[in-house]
Amino acid sequence: MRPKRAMKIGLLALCAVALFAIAPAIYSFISYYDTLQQEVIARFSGKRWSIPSRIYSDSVTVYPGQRLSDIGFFERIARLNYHRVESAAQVNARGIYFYDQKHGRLLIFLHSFPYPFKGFTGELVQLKFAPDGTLTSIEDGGSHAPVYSIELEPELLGAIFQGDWQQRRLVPLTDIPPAFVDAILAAEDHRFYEHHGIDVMRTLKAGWIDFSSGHLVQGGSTLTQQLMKNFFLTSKRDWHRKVKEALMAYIAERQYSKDEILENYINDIYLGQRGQEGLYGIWEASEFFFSKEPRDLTIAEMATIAGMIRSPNRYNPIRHVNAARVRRNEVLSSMLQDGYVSKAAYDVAVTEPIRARAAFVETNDAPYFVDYVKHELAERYPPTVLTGEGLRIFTTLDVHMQKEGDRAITDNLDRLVAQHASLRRKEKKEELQSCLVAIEPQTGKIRAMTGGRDYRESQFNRVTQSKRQPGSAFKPVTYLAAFQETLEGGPDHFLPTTYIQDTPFTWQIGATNWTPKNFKNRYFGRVTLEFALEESLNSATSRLANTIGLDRVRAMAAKLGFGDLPPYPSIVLGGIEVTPMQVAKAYAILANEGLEVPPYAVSAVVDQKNQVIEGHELKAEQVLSPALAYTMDFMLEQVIDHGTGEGARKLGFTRPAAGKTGTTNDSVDAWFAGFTPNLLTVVWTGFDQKEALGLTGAEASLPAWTAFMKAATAPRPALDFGVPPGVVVAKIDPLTGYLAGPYCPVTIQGVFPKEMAPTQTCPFHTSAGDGATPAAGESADANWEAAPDDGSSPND
Amino acid sequence: MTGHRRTIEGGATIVSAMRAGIKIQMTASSRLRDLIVVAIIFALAPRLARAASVASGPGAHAWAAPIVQPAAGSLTVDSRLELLAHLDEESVPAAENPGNPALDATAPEVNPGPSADWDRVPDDGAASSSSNTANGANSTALAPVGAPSVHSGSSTGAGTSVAAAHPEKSGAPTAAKTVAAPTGAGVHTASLTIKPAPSAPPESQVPIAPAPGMGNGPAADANNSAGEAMRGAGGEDANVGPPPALDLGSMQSGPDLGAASLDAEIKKADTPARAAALRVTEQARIDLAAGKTDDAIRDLGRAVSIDPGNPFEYFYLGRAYIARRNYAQALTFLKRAEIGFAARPDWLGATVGFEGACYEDLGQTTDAALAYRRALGTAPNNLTARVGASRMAAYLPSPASVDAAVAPAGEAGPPPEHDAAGPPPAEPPPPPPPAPLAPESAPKKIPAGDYLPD
Repeated sequence: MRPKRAMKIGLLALCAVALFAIAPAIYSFISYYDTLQQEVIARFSGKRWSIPSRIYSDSVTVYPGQRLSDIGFFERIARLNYHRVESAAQVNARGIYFYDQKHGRLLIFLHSFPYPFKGFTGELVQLKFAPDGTLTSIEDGGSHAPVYSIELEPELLGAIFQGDWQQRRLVPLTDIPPAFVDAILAAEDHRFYEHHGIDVMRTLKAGWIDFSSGHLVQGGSTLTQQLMKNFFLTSKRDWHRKVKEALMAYIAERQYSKDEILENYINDIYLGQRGQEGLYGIWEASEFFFSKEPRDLTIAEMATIAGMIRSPNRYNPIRHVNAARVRRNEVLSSMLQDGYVSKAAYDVAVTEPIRARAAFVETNDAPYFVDYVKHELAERYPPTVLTGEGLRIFTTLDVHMQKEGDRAITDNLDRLVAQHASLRRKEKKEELQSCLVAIEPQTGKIRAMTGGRDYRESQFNRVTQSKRQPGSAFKPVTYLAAFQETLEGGPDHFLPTTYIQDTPFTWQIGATNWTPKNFKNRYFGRVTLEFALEESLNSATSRLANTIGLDRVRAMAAKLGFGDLPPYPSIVLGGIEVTPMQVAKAYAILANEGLEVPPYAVSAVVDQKNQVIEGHELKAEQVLSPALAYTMDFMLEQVIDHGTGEGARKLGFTRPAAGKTGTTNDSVDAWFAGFTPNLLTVVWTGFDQKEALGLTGAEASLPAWTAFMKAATAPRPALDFGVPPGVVVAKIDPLTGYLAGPYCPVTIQGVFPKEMAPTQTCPFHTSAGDGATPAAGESADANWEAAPDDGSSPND
Repeated sequence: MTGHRRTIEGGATIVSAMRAGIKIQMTASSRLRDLIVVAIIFALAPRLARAASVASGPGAHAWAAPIVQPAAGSLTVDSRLELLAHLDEESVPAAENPGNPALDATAPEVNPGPSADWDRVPDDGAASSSSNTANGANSTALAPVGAPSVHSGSSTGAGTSVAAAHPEKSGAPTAAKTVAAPTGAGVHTASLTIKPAPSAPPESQVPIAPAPGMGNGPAADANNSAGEAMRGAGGEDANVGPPPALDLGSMQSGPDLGAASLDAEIKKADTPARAAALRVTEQARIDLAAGKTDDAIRDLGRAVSIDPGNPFEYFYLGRAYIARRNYAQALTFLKRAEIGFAARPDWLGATVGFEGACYEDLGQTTDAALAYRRALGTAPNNLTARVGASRMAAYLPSPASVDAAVAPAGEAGPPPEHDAAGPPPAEPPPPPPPAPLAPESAPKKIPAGDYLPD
C-alpha cells in the first residue's frame, strides 16, 4: 500500500470516527436547543407573571370643619407616600406637599388614583386651617376656586400572593416615554437594537475581566439575557448558566421582536422593596419613588430608575441619595454619549436634586382584618385568581381608626396586667387577650377589627372566631322582647318605667329549677325595668323573661341574629356562645333605628383593567320598629349615664352613647358593647383558655371601649339618638306614675308609646310638705337611681 | 366609592323621571295640551279604575284603543304604565301667556273621545278635556296599548291655573314656555306619579256602561263622568267620606322637593359633617336625575357614612331604589327618612307620598291609600300624594281607622319633654296611666360602693 493511499484511508477513518463521535453531540445540542426554544415560546405566549391581589383600606373624605388631627391626616399622608418640601414652589408634582403651620396653610398635590368606579387625576389643592387645627377651607391650588371636599386615596393594607410578594403593574411599551427607554438602554444595553440577544464584544470584555480577576465579577448580559435569566434561571453565576442564558436570549431574539422583549423587560425588572412588597417593573418604581406615572417623570428621574436596575438597593434614591445621584449621572452621561439627550437637557438633568426623605416602613396595619377579608374572598374566588390576577380589593377599613383600636386594646391589656398580678402569665399563648370590632351601624362598614393582643403571637381572630358567653350583654334581648308586644299593642304592658320585683327567684322548668342570683347576692326589691337593665339585675331580668315567656326571648334573639337558641332559661342571662361579631351585629340594629345593615368588609373588587367585578351597595332591612329600637337605646343610654357603664363618663366620654356591660360566671368573659348614633364598638376581654378574670366588663373592657370611642368619634358629628314618631320621652314621678311636678321628690325619664304616655302632672306632691322638698336651685329632676342617699354611685 | 375632589355647582333645577325606563321629551308647544290631559286624568283616574275593573273583570289586561295621542317628542313608558309627569311652573309675565287655559272643575267638559286630537283643544282656556282608556283588572286608564303616553301638567292657585309640562333630561332645566298664573306667582314644581289604579275592591265596583267606540268602554264612561270625578275623586262609593278633591283650579301644587337643588339645605347645615354629607347627597341627586342610579346609590352610601343623621340621604336612597324598582328597599329607606323629617312637613309629605307609591307598587293598596292620606295630612299641597290619595281612595279602610292611621306623620315631632312648669292642679286629676305602676314603697337605694350584678 502506498503511503499516500494509506494516509488517505487513515484520514477518512479519522473523519468517520470524528463524525461518529460528534453526531450524538450535534443531536444533543439540537435537542437541547429545541427544548429551550419550546420553553421560551411557552413562557412568552403564556401567562408571564402571577400578579398578587392588593387589599386597600377605605378612602377618607376631608372637608372643612374637621380637625385634621382627629382623622390622623398627617400620619395618613405619610403612609400614602406623600413627601414634604420646604417651599410652596416645590410642590410641582403629585405626592408632594408643603405645610406652612405658621400661616395655617397646606399645599398638597394629590396623587392620582384609579378608584373602582372612576379614576381620579391628582390635582393641586390648598387647605387652610384655624389656629386650633380645624380645616377652614379647601380651594383649588391654581384657580383658588372653592373645593368642598377632597378624598385621600385608600391605603394599601396587604396583598394576596403565593411565595414572595412581587408587586407589579403591567404597562405596554407604548405607554412608556421614549426617553425612559433610552435611559434604560443607556444604562444596561446600549447596543440592544444591534445585537441578536448576545453582545459578543461586551461578553468578551466581561469574560476577560472575569478571567483576569480569577472569579466572576462582571456579567456583560444584554437586556435579553437578563430577561431570560429572570424568566427561567437563577442568579447563580457560573458558565453553564451563562451559556444557557445566551442560548435562550438568542432563541428569544429569533422568535420575538425587540419591542416585545423590551416590553417584557420593563415589566419584569426588580427595582427595590417596600416593606415586604417587592417592586417589579418600572411602573411600580415610578409610583413608589417619585409618586408619578412613568410618563410624568423627568429625564433625571428616569435616569435614576434606570440606574437602579444594576443594584436596586444600593442605588435606592430614598435611602442612598448620594449613590443614587452618582449612578444617575453615569446614566445621563451614557445617554449624552449615545445621543439620547441634548447637552442642554443633560445639563438640566444632572443638576436636578434627588430629595432625601424618610423611608416609610411598610407595616401590615390590620392583619386580622386582612385575614378576615381573605377568608371572605376565598369563598367567592379561586386561589389562583386571588394570588395571580392582580385584583384590587377595596375594603371598609379606616386605618386611623384601626390604629386607635390597636392602641386601645394594647394599652388596656397592659394596664390590666400591671394592676392585677393574677392576670399575668408566663407563656405568651396564655396571655390575657382582648379584641375589638367597630362598625358603622348605618352603612355596615367594618371600620376597625383588632382580633387579639398581637398578631405575631396569635393569628386567632377573636372577633370572628372566638365563641364566648355574652353574659349580661345579652340582656337587652329579653327587654326588647318584653317591649315589643307593648309597642305593637299587645295585651302585656311593659315599659322602661314598669316595675318588677328584684328578689330571689326560681324558674321551674319541668322538674328542673333554675335560680339566678344577683351579683354579690344583692337584691333591690321593687325596681323599674329601666333600673333593672341599668344595673344589670339578673333576678329581675329572669323574672321578666319568665313572665313574657322564653319563646318570645328566643324569637327576639333570632331576629337579632343569634340564631335558634335552645329553650333554656339561662339564655336570658347570656348563657349561650356567640362571637363578638354577632354581638356587634345585634347591637348595630339597635343603633340604627331598628334597621339591619349587614356588616361587610369588601366594598369593591376590580380587575387589572379597573373593571368592577363586584361592588357593595347600601341595603337595609327593618328588623325592629324604630320605636322599639329607640326604647332600648334610651335604656342603654341610662346604663352609660348612670348605670354599670358609667365608667365611660368618668373616663371623659361625653357624647350621647348607649351600651351594656357583660360579665359571665366567675368573670371569665368581660364585655362592653356600646354605640353612639354613628359608631358601634364591641370589646371583649378574657383568656383563650377560659380562666377566670375576676373583673367585670366595666372594669376590663369598658376602658378600652372608651379610649377607642373618644378617638374614633372625634371627627364625627355628635348626634343624639333621634326619637322616632310614635314614642315620647317624659319625665315622671316614679312613685305615682304621673308626670313629674315641681314637688315630686324623685323623677325619672321614661319612654312611652304616645298613646300610653302620662299626660297629667302628679297630683300627690302639690306642696313642699308632700314629699321631699326641693332644695333651692335643685329641681325635682334629681335622679334617685344615680344619686343614692350616701352620695355613692352604683357601678359595675 | 368615587373618591376624588369634587366641586359642586349648585342651583341647577333638575327634574328627573323617577323610574328608569321612562324618558320624556316634549316640546314646549305640546305642554299645554298635555297638561290638560293629565289634569283630567287625575280627576278621572279613580272612577276609571273602578269602572275598568268592573268592565274587564279579573285577569283581563286588554287595553282600550288609543285615546290620548302622545305629544310631540319621544315617549317611552314601561309596560306597567307608571307614568311620571313633572310639572313645572314658572313665573311668566301675563303677556307671554296668551293661552291661559283653565283647568278647574267649573270649566266646560270636553270629551274628545277615543281618537281625541289634543291639538284641537281650544287654546283660549275655556275648555278642559277628559279622556281615557279602558283597562284590565290591574291597569289604568291612560294610554294606548304598547305606546302609553306621558302627560304632565301643573297648576297654580288663584282661581285659574295653567299647566306646563316639561319633563327634563339629564338634569338640565328645560325652559318652560307656557304658563302662568295671572298672579305671576313663583315657581312651582310638582312631580306626579300616575300609575294604573289597581282594581277596586268588589264592593266599590260600579257598573259603568261602555261608551261608543270604546270597546269595553269603562274609560269612555269615565270620560263622561269627568265632572263628577273632579268634584269627588274618590267616587260615591268610597266609604270614608269624600276623597281629596282634585279641583285643579283651586289647587296649589307644592314644589317637587326631591327634584330641587339641596343648596339651601347645605347653606343652613348646622355641622360641617352635615354640609359635607349634603353636598355628596346633592351629587347623588344629580346622578339620579341623570339616570345614574348606581352612582347615586354609591354616593349616598358615602353620605350616610359621613353623617348618618341626615334624612336627605335616606330620602334619595328611597328614590334611587324606586328607580331600581326595588320598592321594598325603597320603602325601608323612606321610612328611615321619615324619622329625620319629623319637623319638616314639606319633606315629610314628599317622603310619605313616595311611601304610598311604593306600597302601591307592592300591591298593598290599603297601605298606599293610608300613606297618601297621611302625606296630605302633613303636606296638603303635595301633588303626588293628592293624586295618589285620589286614585287609591277606594282602598281606604273605615273612617275610624283612617283617622287613627292618617294622623299627620309629623305630629310626633320632636319629643315633648314634659317638665312640670306650672303649679300642680288644685284638684287631683284622674288616675295615672297604666304603664308605670304605682309603687308600694319608694325604690330602694343602692348601697354605697358595691358593684352590681352585671
